[in-house]
Amino acid sequence: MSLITKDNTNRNFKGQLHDEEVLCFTRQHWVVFLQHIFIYLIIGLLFLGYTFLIATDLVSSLLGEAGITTARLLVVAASIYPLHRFFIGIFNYYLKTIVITDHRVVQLDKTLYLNDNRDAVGLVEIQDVTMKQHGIMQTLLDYGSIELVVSSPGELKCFKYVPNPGYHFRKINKAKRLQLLGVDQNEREHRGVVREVELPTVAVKE
Amino acid sequence: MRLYGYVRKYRFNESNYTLLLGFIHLNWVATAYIVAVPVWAVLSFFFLFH
Repeated sequence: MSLITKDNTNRNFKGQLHDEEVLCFTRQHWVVFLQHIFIYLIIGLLFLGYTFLIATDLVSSLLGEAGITTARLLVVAASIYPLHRFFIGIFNYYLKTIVITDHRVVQLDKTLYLNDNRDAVGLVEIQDVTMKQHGIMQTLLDYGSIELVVSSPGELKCFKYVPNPGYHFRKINKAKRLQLLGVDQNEREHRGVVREVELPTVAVKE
Repeated sequence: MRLYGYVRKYRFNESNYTLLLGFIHLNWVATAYIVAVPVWAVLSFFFLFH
């Protein structure tokens, strides 16, 4: 009796195993976007500041006409940089994902061009799962951190700014329990793992 | 083109199975980025030199 499995290799994320099913995924809470909003505020302040600075006669008398032109060009260049950072921040937020599968918890920490970090913790290695939600902001906006105590001594895996931490806490615990108990055949068939039917052998009389 | 293919394959396509905040596709963000930077540069240049 053998099993024919649906090949999930690299299906939902790079590095997914052939028999691995994604149970759920999450990104960081939208509160991390606030820092990018601050960047926009800085853009506005830069603009206002430089505009007033350049408008003053004092600065123009100090720098001269050529200096003023250079300063204006620098303002244009300087104001583009935070805009660039804002969009890169969105990309990086998008690409930083935590995936909970039926085998492991994977943290994909990528940036647009340079970084591609993957950190996986097998469900069987997890000794304990802790959910932490402290403070008014975390309670009101429903985010927190999830810590995984791994069997390796002194190792602690922490996911910060996890939205809806209660749900993900339960999901990891449930996946861990299923992994430890061993998923029964019905569950596997339900998820697309097909049992190959063994044909009876027919004895041919000569 | 090779870099574009790499980014598309290993960054964009991997995120195809979902959307940011439920409705924003990463391609939209990329388009907004490509459009916003030159528009911002032109506008700020115009604003400062006139």
